[in-house]
Order: sequence, then C-alpha cells, then structure tokens
Amino acid sequence: MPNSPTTVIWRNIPAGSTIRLQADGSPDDYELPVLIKLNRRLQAGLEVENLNPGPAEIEITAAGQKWDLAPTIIVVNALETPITLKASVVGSDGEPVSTSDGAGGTVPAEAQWESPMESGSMLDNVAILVRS
Amino acid sequence: MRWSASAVALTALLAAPLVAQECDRNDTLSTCLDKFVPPVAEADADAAAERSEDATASAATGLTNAASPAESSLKDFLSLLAASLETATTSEQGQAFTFDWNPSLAMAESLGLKFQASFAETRLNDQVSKGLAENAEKLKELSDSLELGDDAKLSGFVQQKSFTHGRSVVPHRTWFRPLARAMLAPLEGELDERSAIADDFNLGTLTKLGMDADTNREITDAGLVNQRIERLEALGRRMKASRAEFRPFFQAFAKLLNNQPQYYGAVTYHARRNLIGPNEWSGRFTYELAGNNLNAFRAKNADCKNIQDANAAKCARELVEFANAAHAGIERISVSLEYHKVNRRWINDPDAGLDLGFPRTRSFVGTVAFGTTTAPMLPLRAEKTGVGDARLDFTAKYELPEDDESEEKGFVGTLTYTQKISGTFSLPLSLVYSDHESDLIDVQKRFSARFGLMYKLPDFKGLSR
Repeated sequence: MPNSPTTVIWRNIPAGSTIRLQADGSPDDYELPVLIKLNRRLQAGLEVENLNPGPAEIEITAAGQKWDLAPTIIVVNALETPITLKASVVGSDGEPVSTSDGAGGTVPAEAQWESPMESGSMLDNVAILVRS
Repeated sequence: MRWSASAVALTALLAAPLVAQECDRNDTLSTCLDKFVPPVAEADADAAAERSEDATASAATGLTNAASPAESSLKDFLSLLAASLETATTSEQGQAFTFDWNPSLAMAESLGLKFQASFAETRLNDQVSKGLAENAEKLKELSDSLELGDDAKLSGFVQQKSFTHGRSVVPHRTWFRPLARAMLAPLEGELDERSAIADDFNLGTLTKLGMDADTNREITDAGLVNQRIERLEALGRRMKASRAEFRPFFQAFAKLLNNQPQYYGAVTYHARRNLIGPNEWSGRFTYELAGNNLNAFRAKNADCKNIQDANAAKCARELVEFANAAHAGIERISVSLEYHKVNRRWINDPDAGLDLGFPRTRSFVGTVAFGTTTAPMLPLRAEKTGVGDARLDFTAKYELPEDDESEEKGFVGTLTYTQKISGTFSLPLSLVYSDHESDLIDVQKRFSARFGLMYKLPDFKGLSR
C-alpha cells in the first residue's frame, strides 16, 4: 500500500465510530508523539507505547465533533525497515467506515505512512482530520 | 505620456505578489503543503531507493563476526528483529557465513539480546592432513565428507539498557520528552491552521484547490481559489520554518544517543567435527565507550540533567551546539577480556593410520579496539549518491595461555576498512599482523590481508504486505 496523502480529511463520520492508530517496529528505535485536539482544544496526547503494539483508540462520542491529530515519528536509531504508522476510523463491526474522498468518490477511512530510516530523521508533516 | 506608462507598469509590478505562488488550482491541500515540507515517500522510485541506500549506509557497523580478528568495535544491538526471520541479518566474511538475530523480550525490556551463528568453510585440521600425507585417497575421502555446519560458532550476547549505557531511547524518555515537546510546540498552531483551512473551504483529502468539493465542479471565482492558495502557502512557509528549527535538535539527539557507551557479556560455543578441531567454550566481557554522547552532554551542562518546561528550550539549543561541536579523540573504543577453554579430543583411526589429539587448554585474551567513521576512500558509490559511508576499525589482541611455555602467546593487530557498496552490501578490507601462530585467534605468524562481503537481508516485511 503506497503512502497516503500527508493530510487526510474524513468527513461525515458516524458518532460511535473509533479512531485507531497503530505503529510497528522496535520502540528502542523511535519516538512517536501524537498531538490531539478535539474541537480545537488540546487533549492528552499519545506516545509510542500507546501505539506499539497498540492500537490506540479514540472514541467519537457525539455528532459534530472535530478531531485533529498530528503524529510525528522521530527515528533515533538507523532502521533496517521503515516504521509503518496506520490510522483508520472503524465502526462497531471493526471495519473502516466509508467516507468521501473529496473528489466525488468514497473511500474507506484508513491511511498509512512509512517513516524514513536514517538516524535522526523524521516523519513530521502528517495530519488526520476527522469530522463527525 | 512615457512617464505615465512607466508609472502604470511600476504600480502593476508592486501590486503583484512578492513571492511567486508555488501551488496552483490543481493541487490538493496535501500536495500544496508537500511543496514546502516534502513527504517521506515520493513518486520518484530512484530517489526513494537512493534514500534507502543512504539510510542503510548510516547503519554500517563493520564486521560483526565475534570470532573474527577483524571484528568491529561497535556491536550492533539495534538491528532489531520484529520476528525471527523478518529482520535477520546475514553477512559473509571471507569464507564464513554469519547469521545475527536480536530478539526483543517483553518480559525484560531493560535487556538487549543478540544471538549469532557463524559457519566457517570446513577444512581438515592440519594435523589430520599431515597424518594422511601418504594416503591421498583417504585424505580426499575425509575432506569430501566435511559439510557446512561441521565448523560452527554459536554466540549469545546480553547487555543492559539504561540511562547511562546502551543505545535504546527507552531509558531516556523521561528526560527526552520535555525537550521534544518544547521543540514540537509549533505543531499545535500549524495543526489548528490546517484544520481551519480544511473546514473554511470544505476541502476533502483529494479536493483540488480549484474545485468545489460538494458539486465537484471547477470554481470560476479566481479570487476564491487564490485565497485558498495564499492561506495554504502561508501555512507551508510557516511549517518549513519550524522544521528548520526543530529538525537539527532531533538529529543531534540521535547522534549523541548512538554514541552512548555500552557493555555486554558474551558466551560462545565453537562446535567442530573432530577432523576439524576440538570443541571450545569462551566467555567474554566487553565495554564500549564513545566521547561525544548524552552522558558527556549532561555532565557538561549540569542544569540540563533534569528537564522542566522552563529549561527545555534552552537545553535543546545547548544540546544541538554540543553535538555539532568538534570533540577531539577517537569516536569509539572497546576493551574486552575473554576466557577460553579447549576441550580435550582424540582421533584414533587405525585404518587411516591416525592417532592424534588435542589437549585441554585454557587461556585469556585481552582485546582493545577502536573505530571511527570516515569519508569513503574507494569510488564505489560516490558517483551515484555522493555520500557513501565507511568506517575504520583497529583491533589489538594479546593472547596469554595458562601454560606459559606455549607458543600461542603474543600479539595480533588488525586494521579494517569497511565501505558500503550498495544498500545491502558492505566491503570490509583487513590487514592483519601476528607475531605468533594462533588457532584461537585464527592467524598465522605473518602479515595477511582479508576481504569479504557483508550482506543485510532485504525487507521481508515489505514483501509480505
């Protein structure tokens, strides 16, 4: 699966759905702070130990909620394989919910990004915008 | 008339945007921002491949074979394996094949483990060959009977991962995270603005800036499209500026972390068929030290030993200055002491006329090794990437048998140059000098040169996706 766009915008997500984040690799080798905002207000963030093995889950409790997430992968030891960060919004059946792609089509609300592998490099331009 | 025309032209020039637009109506929110902060994976496969090669090069650790006189001063505990074969590392040094495995134990996260199996080219022991000098047929029969695996070294390494030792980031998290939060503070405002732009203009993931997401039709109001582009470009410039500030900090932290000292213990069992030699046991303790590391930074900047929100930004700046300053001395040095025991073994084959054996012996070996990264000396990768990676390792060993009269007593020195030649291959070149013959260190009394290939397995995880 190729890398997703650096900003994903998932609209019309049903209340009761769950945002999932998960990362792989060795936690010895990287940090992964996740900045989280609900309706523009800062929430408690997530760290690599929440996502790996994870998944970390955030429940969308009410219609009209706007969740904004900014995960940042900081590679501190050179990697043999990239860290893969996966994000999705799943329904009660555990499957990704369907959402508009913003260009006339519909897609499952799921995305993934791979980190660079150099020691000291970062994946620092990803944003996940979820609108219920 | 000429003056008024000039005035109009000048006015038009001043009214134009001072910065040329980088985005256009066919960009999406992502592709516009990517022009300011490029994504990790680009469509250009060649660029991605080169980046991957460079990344692997940065992990060059020299020879890992613990049994080799040319072993690197840097033990790679962090080429971690998510599953047994997915991230295994193999290498071939001369005629030896080495398999490395670094498992992760959830029950003992403070321990770093490494297992290594090395299979040497099988050949008859010199005593056996001499004993069969008059019996060529038997010599060939026995020689042909040898198989890969008849001469194998199995090693296990263990190290402690702590705040002062080891290259894992885990013990440093409490100290590191306030620094990271301080450096990443601009992300909050940037996320707010990215969110506001998406909502103000009702953008979806793939909505082009010149399109209406609801009707999926072109927007004819050029002013609205320009408004979208200008807000995104302003955000893009802001993101680019903040990364120029915080990326050097994370590079500096990684550099100092990779220079942390580490110590580890190792046990090796050398299993050999009796025609090759006796079985052997060894135990070794090694200490590795590098100067420009996190411990040294914290010692020099006492007020940065405890990071609070108040001193985080200041300490982050000081850490970057420390990491980028020139520090005299050797990059990394290791010292080890090894105890070695050879089991007694006897070969009695009347048909072949063999009646010889190997006595039980015990000895100590002291080793000092130091290494440093260096500019590539061989034009193997420079044309393609311009940034090859190489390292230089020097190892000195002194062997002291329990039997002081033994001839296997003395010094062995090895100089090894290792250069990456591709994303997965490294070329180590070694010059070895020994003042004595030693089966233990596997050298003869002379100068000798060695070379080989190190190979890292490809990304099996990627293949399975």
